[in-house]
Amino acid sequence: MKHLFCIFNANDPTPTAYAVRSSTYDKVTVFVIGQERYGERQERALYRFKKWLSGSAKSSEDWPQGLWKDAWDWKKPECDVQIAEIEHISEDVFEADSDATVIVDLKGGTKKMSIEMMEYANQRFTNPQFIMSNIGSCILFSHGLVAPTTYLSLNEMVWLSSGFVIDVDYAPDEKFASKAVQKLKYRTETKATAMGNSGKQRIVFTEQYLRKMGKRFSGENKIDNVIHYKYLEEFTASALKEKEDIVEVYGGVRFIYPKRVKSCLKRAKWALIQTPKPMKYVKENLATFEQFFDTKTCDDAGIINLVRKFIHTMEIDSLALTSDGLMIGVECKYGNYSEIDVDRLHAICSRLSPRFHPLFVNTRLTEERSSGVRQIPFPRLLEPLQSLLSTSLDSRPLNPSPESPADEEVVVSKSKVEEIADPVKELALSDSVDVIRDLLLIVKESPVSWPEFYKLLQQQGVKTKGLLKFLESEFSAQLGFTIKGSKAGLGVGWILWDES
Amino acid sequence: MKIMDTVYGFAGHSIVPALALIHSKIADRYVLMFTEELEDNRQMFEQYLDQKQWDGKPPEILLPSIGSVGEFSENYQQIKQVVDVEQKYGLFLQNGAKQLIMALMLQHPNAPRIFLQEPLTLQMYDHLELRSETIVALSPEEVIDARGVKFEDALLEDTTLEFDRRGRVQFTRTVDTLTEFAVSAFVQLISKFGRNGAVYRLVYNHATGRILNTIPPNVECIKEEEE
Repeated sequence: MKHLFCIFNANDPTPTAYAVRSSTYDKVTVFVIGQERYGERQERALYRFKKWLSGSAKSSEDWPQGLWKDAWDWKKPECDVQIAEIEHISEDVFEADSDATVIVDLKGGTKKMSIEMMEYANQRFTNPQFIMSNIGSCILFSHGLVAPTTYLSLNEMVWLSSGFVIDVDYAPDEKFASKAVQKLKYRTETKATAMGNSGKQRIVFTEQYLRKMGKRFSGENKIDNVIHYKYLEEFTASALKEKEDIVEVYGGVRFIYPKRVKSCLKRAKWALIQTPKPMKYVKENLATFEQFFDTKTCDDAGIINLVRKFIHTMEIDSLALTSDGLMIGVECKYGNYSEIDVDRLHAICSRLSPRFHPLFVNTRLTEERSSGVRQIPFPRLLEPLQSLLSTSLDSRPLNPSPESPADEEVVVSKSKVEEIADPVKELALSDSVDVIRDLLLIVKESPVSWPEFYKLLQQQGVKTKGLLKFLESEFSAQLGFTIKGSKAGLGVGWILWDES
Repeated sequence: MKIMDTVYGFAGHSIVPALALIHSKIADRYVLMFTEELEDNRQMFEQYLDQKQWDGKPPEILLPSIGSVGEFSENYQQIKQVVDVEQKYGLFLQNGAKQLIMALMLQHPNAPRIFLQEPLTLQMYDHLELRSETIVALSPEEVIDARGVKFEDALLEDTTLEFDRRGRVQFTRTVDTLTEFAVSAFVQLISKFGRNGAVYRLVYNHATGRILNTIPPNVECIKEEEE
C-alpha cells in the first residue's frame, strides 16, 4: 500500500495536484497548515483544490440542464485523499498503516516546511521515500533520479491556478497543423490609397497557400478577408501544436467562472438579447431565449449551445500548455489594432495567474513589445518555443517564404472596419445608455479589467471615444462607483463600487 | 569565531546571504555552487573576490559551477562530488532552488544547517534545534561592490544606500523631475540585484504620465508633497 504525504500549497494548489497525480497511490494525506491564518486568496485556493479532487468545478446544481459540458470535468483522483488541518508539522501528524510504503512530497510549502516534513517523516518512519512532484515529472530524491509522470490537462491547470474552466472551439488536427507549418507561404503587401502607395506594409498568407489548406475564396473582399483573419488564429494554434515543448493547445478559448452561474447567464443575456444588434437567429427565436433566461430551462439544444458560447468572462484566440507548466495565452490580430488590444491580453493573463504568458501575433513586419507583451509577426511562430517566450525582441528582418511569388503586392487599402470579422455600425455613447448600464451591472458582480470592458462595448458596436468620462458623468452617481483610471495595471480595480 | 572547516551552499539571485556567510568567520572555507543560470553572477562575484581586501587572513572561497537548475540527476551527482565529508562541515540552506537544497540535505542529513535570519544573523541548527547565532557586520557598499557597482557610478547618482529593517539593500533616488535616465538606471539596478533582492524607491516632485508608465512594478514611487 502506497501512502503519500504532502503539504497543501496555499497560494497555488497546482503543485499539490501534481503530487496527488505523481503516481498511483492508495492513500494521500494533504496537510493544510495554519488554515486559521488563511486570507481570502488561500481560502479560494483550497476551494479550487477540493473541487479538483471531486473531478468537477461545477459549483452547484443551479446550472441549467444541458448548459454544463461534460468536457469541462476531469477524471477525479482514484486514491483516498484526506485533508488534514494542522497547526504545524510534527512527528504526530504522520499517521500511516504499519505495512504502508511511505512517500513524502516536498514540493509544496516553504523551504522551512519542507525541511520539517523531511525531518519528522524520518523520525516517524523507517526509510520513507522523498519526492518532489513537478508537471510531467517527479524527482526521486532517494535515487537522485527524475521519473516521468502524467500531465494535468490544460483545463485542470487553468482551474487550479485561476478558478476558471475553459470552453474551447477546437483542438488543432495533427495532420492539418503539420501541413500548415510545412507549407506556409506568405508575402508582403503594401497598401495603396486613392492618393497612391501609402507605404504601409504587412505580411499576409498567399491565397495559393490558403487554398492548399482547404480555404475557398468567393471573390468578395468582405468574405475573403474573414478567411485570412480566421486562418491567422488557426495557423497560430497549429504552429504551437507542432512544437515539442507544447503538450496541449486549443483555439478559440473562453474562460467561464463556474462559481457564479447567475453572472454567467446575465452576461449571456446581455450579449445575446440586450445587445443593440442581436443575431438573426436570436431575433427569430427571441421568445424562446427570453423564456430560457427567465426559467433556466430549455429543450432546444441549439439555443443552449449558443448561450454556452456567451457565458464566459473572458476569451482569447489560443491557449497552449508547455511541458514546464506555463500557459501561453495568444491573441491574433490581422490588420490594425491598438494599444488597448495589447492591454486587454495583458490584463487577462495577469488576472488568471503568474503561470500565464501573453503573446500577441500580428501581420506586421517587425516585432514590438508594449505593456509587457511581446508582439510578433505570424511567421515567427515557427521559431523554437524558448525564443518565443524570451523577453528580448528579435530585430532580424523576416525571411521571405521560399518560392513565394512576387516579393510584394500592392492592394487597395480597406477601411479598418472591413478588417474585422463581423463589423457593426458604431452607436454613439448617448444612444447606448442601456447597454452600458447593463454591462456595468454585470461587471459589478463579475469584474473585468478596463481594456476588456472597453472591447466588449466596442464589439457591441458602441463608439468608445470618451467612454471613461461618459461613465463618470452618466452612471457614477446613479450606480454608485468611482473610476480609478484606465491603466491596464489596475486590473479589475479600475472601478470601485460604493459599499451598499 | 570558527565553528567548522567548510560550509557548502548554493548561490541565489540575491547576493546578501552569500556575503553574510563569507563575512561571518564561522569557517575557513566556503564553497558556493552556481547553477548555469547564474553564471554571470558567478563571474561578477569572482571579480569581487579577486580585488577584495580582507581584514586578517582571507577565507578560501570556491565557486564551482553546476548544471542548469532543471538538470536534477546531473546536479545530484555533482553535489555529491563537491562535498568533502572528511572535514567538519555545515550546509548553508538559505539560497538556491528547493530541489537542490533538499538534495544536499538528504545526502547529508546529519550535517549542521545554517540559515540567514533577517536582518543579517546567521543561525546554526542541529536538525531542528537552534544551536548558535552569529551577527554579521556588513555594509551596503560591500553589497553593491560584489555586483560590480561603485557608489560613485552614474547609476547611483542622487541615490542613497542603506539596509532596510529586513537587512535588504535599499536604493532611494530623489529627484525633482523624474527622467527616463533615472528610470533606466533603476531598471539596470534591478537586473543586477534582482526584483526581490533589494528595495527600490523613487522620490520625485514632477513626473509625466508617460514616464510613470515605464516604471517597473516593484519600484516604490513616492511623490513629494509640495509645500
